[in-house]
Amino acid sequence: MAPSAEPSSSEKKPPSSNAFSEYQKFEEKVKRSLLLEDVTPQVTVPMIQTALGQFGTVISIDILNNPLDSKFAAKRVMVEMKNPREAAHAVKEIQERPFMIKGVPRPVRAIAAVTTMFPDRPQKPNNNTKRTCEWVKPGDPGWDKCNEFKQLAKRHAQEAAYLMEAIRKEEEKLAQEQEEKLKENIKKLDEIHNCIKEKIIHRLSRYYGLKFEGE
Amino acid sequence: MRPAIAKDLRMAGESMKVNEGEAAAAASPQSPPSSPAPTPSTSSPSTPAQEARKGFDMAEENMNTNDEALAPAAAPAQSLASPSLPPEPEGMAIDNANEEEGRIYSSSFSSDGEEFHLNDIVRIYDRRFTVPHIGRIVKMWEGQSSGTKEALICWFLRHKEVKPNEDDNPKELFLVAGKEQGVTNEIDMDSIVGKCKAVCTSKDPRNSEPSISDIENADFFFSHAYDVDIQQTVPVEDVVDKIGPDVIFNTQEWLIAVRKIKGQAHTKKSASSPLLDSKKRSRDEEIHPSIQKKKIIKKEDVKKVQMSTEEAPKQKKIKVVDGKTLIQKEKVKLNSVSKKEEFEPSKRQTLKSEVPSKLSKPQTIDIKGSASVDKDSAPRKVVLEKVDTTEQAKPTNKRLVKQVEDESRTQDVPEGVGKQKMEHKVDVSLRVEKSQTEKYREMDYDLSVPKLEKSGSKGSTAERIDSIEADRNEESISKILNQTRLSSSIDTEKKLISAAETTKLFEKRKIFKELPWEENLQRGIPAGKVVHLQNVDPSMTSADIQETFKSVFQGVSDARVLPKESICPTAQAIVIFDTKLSADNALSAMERDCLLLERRWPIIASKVKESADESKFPGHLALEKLKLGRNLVTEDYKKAVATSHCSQPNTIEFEMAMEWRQLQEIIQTCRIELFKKQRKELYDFRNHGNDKAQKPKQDRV
Repeated sequence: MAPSAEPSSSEKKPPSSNAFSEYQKFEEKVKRSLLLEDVTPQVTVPMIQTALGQFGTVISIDILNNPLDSKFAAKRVMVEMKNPREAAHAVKEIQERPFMIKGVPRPVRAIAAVTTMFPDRPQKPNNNTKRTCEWVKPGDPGWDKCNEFKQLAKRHAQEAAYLMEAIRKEEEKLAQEQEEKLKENIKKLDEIHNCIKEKIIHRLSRYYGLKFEGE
Repeated sequence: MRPAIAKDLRMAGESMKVNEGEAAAAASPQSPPSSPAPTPSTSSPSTPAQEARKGFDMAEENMNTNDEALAPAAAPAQSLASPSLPPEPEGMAIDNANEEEGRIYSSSFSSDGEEFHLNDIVRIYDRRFTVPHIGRIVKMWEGQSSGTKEALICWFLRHKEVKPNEDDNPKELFLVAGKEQGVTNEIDMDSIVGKCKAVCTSKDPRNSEPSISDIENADFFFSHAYDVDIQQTVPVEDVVDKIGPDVIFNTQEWLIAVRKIKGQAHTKKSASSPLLDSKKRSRDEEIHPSIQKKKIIKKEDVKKVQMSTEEAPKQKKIKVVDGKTLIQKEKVKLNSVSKKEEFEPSKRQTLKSEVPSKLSKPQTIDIKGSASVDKDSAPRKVVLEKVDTTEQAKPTNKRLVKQVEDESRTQDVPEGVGKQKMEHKVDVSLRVEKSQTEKYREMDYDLSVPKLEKSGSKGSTAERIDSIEADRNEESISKILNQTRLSSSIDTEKKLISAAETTKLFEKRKIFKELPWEENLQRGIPAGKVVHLQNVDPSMTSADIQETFKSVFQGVSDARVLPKESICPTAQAIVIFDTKLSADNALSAMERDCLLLERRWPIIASKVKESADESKFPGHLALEKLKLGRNLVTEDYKKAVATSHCSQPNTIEFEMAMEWRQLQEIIQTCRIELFKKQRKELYDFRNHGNDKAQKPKQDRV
């Protein structure tokens, strides 16, 4: 009865079998990998390739598709670098500076990968204990507790879903604000541009007795 | 040619009806289709209605030729407007691909470790047909925008499709030639299930002739083409000039390739065919009783009496069936009568071919032969020939055939009635066999497989295989028949059968090729087959989940864990079920009861719904004005490489980025807080058994 989340990453190293070496390989890969979050859904593999190529040699790229997300939700991308050092470097760089992929002003986030982020990870070889799976039905001795437990889990799931929804709203709000701000900015720049183009600026400079050094 | 077309058309019509709910097409199967044949669309993913299309096209062409009959020889003289475009030479490298219309053509393509080249003969899977279609790859390309791989296929027809009235030769194919639609189709490369061994046996000098062993080992051979313009089969030499020799004749490479395929394909075949066979058989068995029932219903009581007097030992059995069917009689009668008329010939064929396949070898030929003669409505001959064969037959068979013969003799009256009786008789014999020799039957199946391989050596075995094959072919008809009946929903039994059929089809598909996970999911979500699991043990892998759920629920097709949020204490997974029903069942079971994983993880399940498309990714700012100003739709934009960079701290975007960063920080904190709280609650719960958790406080900004 340990607390919930087992980091389930690198642990014991028993029998040396084929599966074991495979798992070891996988774990090494995990150490070399980093996860990018908040990536635009329009991202493509070559895009990531060039983006992360700035930090080292990219070995493999996997765009993780969460089927539950909408087509336009932020994507997560698993990137495998040449060695753990490069991966760590990339994570550090991206965390410290706003890194924009595809010029999207929303910067991506990067974290070092852990095993559970890989949907198709291999089975841990030392896990020879059979998975138990049982039904608890109303009326069974443990039902009350179990049901309570289930309700708790359900509530947690709902909370998480609520949080996700709130986050999404928040993100949209920010995006909206930024868009407006940007539009204003562009309007401003356009007006300045027009001023220059239509020689208004020259008149103004004359009027105020200032020297305009444009063009 | 007429009946052939009619049959094709009927098949097409039926399948259209069954699969697409176009009742109109099937309403008058004998008349030309009211709706025009669908034009081969550029991207028909699962090759829908290909066969139907073929049928339709052929029917249309039939009409055309009738018109053209006034000007004979006009049609054949017309040069084919390249139904299959001049093929590119084989062995060309992919990088030599040429571009046009947004398609990148290539000369080879590999899928699942198998490489397909131009002019390869391949099997094409169509989920609505039990036997894959055969076609030759004429072109292959990749859609530039869609990214899907497609191919232009020039079809082959099977022997029974071209000459349904002749003895079937399951190995013979006919190249489809002509200039009408349906000769070639564009299909998705995904529906190609694999190469098959087909060789051209033409004597043309340009053809590198296959050796005898090649032909024996090949799945198919062809020496004739079926010209849809003139509705006739012609030697392939005649169409060579129109189509191009590369398409028709074997090349040395191809022969070598065929020999190579042979090895794997053969083992594969022998491994899988008993399985498929037995499946088919069992389906056959399921279907036949229903056919028989119907027939018995139609028969007058007089005949029943007659029969029962004749066959004392069998009487009981039939009585039982009668009992069952009588109840349904009233309901079924109306529907069945009209339909039965339609399917009469095919049904008869089915049963006919059943009989010989059960009998021992030497008789097979005779009866087989007689069966085809019988089609020309000469029931008497059959009787005679059967008598001959009876002499050599084993006692069980002898008895059987004799009964059969007796019966048909007594019923030697007008032709129409005679036919019916013939059916009945075969019915009976079938039933007799079934009751007598369940074991014998099984043996028979086992035998049939090795015999397939001996086909070259013994004529008789070949005949036998024919009959088996015919049987199998007819089975598809009876399946269609079965499905149409289903539409009138006569009894639940049949429903069950068809349900079983669909799952079988699914299994079959899996034998060919495992559906990719993504595709499976994309199809599953709208169909309501996908269940989302929450609160899954994070240490479980996809394989674990799959194993666990397969042991707990029926009909689990696939399962996968979702990539986990780094800080979330629990994992999520997705399970795809074969049917919506099993998904719903599992869902309600998990709702009602509690599924505990590892004694610590009660599963929370919910149905995955199609996600509503939100307008766009928040944070991706696309400015209309900017777009116009920079004229982003030009070539330059398309070729522009999107840059990724760390923004500099003196730009607008940096400001924006900082805002995002701020939000991200807040979000992250919220999540961490929430999960921390949840984790604590769980911990408390597990250790103390009571949950004193307070209401969650969602400290939003």
